Amino acid sequence: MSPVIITYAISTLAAGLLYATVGCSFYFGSVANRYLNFAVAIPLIAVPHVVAACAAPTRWLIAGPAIIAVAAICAAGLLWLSHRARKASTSDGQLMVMSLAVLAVFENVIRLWRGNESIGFAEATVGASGLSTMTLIALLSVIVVCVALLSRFTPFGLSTRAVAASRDSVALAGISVKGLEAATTFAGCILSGIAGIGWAYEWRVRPDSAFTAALLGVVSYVIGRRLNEDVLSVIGAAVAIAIARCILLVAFQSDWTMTALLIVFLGTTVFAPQQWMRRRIAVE
Amino acid sequence: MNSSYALYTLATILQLGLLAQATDLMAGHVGRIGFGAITGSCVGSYVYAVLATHSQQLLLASVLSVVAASGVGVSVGYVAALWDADRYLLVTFVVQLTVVEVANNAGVTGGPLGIRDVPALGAGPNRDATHTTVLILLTCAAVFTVILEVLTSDRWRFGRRLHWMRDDAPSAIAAGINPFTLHICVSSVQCVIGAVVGISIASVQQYVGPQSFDLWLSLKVITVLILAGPGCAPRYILIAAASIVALTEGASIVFTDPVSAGPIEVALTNLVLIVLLLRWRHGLAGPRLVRGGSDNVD
Repeated sequence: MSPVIITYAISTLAAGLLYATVGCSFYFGSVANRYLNFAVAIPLIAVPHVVAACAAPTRWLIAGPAIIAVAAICAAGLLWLSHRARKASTSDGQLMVMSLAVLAVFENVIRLWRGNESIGFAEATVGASGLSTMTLIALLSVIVVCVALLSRFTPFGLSTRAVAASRDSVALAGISVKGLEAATTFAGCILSGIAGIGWAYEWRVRPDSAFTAALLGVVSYVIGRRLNEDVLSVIGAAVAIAIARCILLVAFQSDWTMTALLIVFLGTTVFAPQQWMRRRIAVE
Repeated sequence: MNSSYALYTLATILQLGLLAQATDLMAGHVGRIGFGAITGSCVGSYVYAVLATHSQQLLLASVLSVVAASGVGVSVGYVAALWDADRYLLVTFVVQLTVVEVANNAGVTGGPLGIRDVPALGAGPNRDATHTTVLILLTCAAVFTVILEVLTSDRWRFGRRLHWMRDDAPSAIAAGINPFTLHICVSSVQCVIGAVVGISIASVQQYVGPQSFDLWLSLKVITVLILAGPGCAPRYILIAAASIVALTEGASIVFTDPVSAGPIEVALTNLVLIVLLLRWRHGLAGPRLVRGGSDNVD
C-alpha cells in the first residue's frame, strides 16, 4: 500500500477518534442539561495551556491532575450558571446563547493570558518519551470504547439516556437529577480536556480552536442524536465527519471541511431524519 | 475629538441598533429569537459588494442585495412558522455560520481575504463615503424606527396579531391568523433592514470579509437586544446600542494596547450578556410577559 494512503488513513483515524472524544464530551455536557452546551469546549483550550505553562520534563505528569482540576472548576461553574439561569426561567435557546457567551469570554481570557499563538506538543515530544500518533490512537480508542460501554451497559449510562427522555420519570425512580447533571457535565469536561491534549498534539491549539471544536462536537452530537438516542451514534457521526473531511481535503485541496459540516448540520436540523424514522415506525 | 472617529462611532451605533431592532421584530414581537437579521445583513452586504465592485451600478446593486436578503427572509420566516423558538434559534444560527463559511471559501466572495475597495453608496469626487453613509443610515434609522413603532404597536391590527401569535399561538391560528404569512412578512422585513445595514457596513468600511459577520457580531446584537428588553419600543434599542458601543469604545480607550483591547472588548460585551440573561432579562424597557413565545405552532 502506498505510504501516502497509509499516512492519510492514520491521520483520518486519529481525527475520527479525536472528533469522537469531542462528540462524547458534548453528549455528556448537553444531554442531561437539555441544551447545546458550547461551553464544554473550555477545557479543550484550557488544559493544553495549563500543561504548556509547566516545564517540559514535568509536563506529562501534570496533564492528568490538570485535566481533573480544570474539568472540576469548569463543570462547577457551568452548573452554577445553568441552575441560576433555570431559576430565572431561561429557555433552552437562551441557555445555548449564554454558553456561547461564556465560551467567548473564556476564549478571550486565554487570548489575554497567553496571546493568540498556537500551542502544540508534537515537536516537544519527538524522540522523547511523549506521545506518538499511534500511542494517541491507542489511548483514544480505549477511551472511546470505555465511554461507549459506560453509556451502554452501566446504570449511569442508562440513567443519562433516561434523563434526556424524561426528567420526571428519572426523578420518580429515585435518581437525583441534579446529581446526574453534575456527573454528566463533569464527565463531559474531562473528555473535553483529554481531547484538548490530543488536539494540541495532532493539530496545535489556538484560542479560537475552542469554537471549532465546539461546533464539531455539537454537529456530531446533533446528527448522532437525530439517528439514535445513544452515544454510539454520536461516535459514528464523529467518525463519519472525519472520513468526509479526509475525502474533501483530497478532492478540493482546500479546507471545505467546516462548510460541508455546516451544510450537513443544517440539513439535519431542518429535515430531522429522526422524525421521519419515528413517523415510519408509527405507520408500520 | 476627531470628526471621522465620531462619524464612524455614530455609524457603528446605528448599524448595531438597526440590526437589534430587526432581530427584536422576531424576538420580542413574535417570540422567535434568532440570527435571521444578521444572516440577511451578511447576504445583502456580500451581494452589494460583488455587484458594485463588478458593475459599478450602485443603486442596482443595492436593490438586488435587498431582494436577495428578502429571499433569505422568506425562507427563515417559513422555518419560524414551522418550528418552536429553540429550533428556530438553532436553524438561524447554523444558517448564519454556513453563509459565512461559504463566503470564506468561495472565490467570488474573495475567500478569507474578503472583497476590498467596495464602492461606497453616495460617495463622489467631493463627498466623503463615511459622511454620506452615516447620513443615509441616520435617515434609515429614523424611518425604520417610526415604521417599527407603528407596526408593533397594539393600536394597529398588525401589531395586535403579532402579539397574539407570540402570546398564544394556538388560539391565534384558531382565530384565522395564518402563521406562515405573518412569520414570512416579519422575517422579510427584518432581513430587508439587515440588508440595508449590510450595505452600510460595506460602504463605511469599503470592505466585506467573513470576519465582518462572525458569531461575535451576532452575540453583540443579542446583547443590545437583551439590554433594551425584547419587545420594547425601538427607540430604547438605539439607546442600548449606544451604551454597548460606549462600553467597548471606553475599554479601547482605557486599554490602549492593541493586542489586549480586542479581547477585552469581546469579553466585556459577552460578560454583560451573561449577567443580563441571569439577572435582568427584561432589560431597560422590555414587557414582562406572562408566557414566553416558545409555543409550538404545529
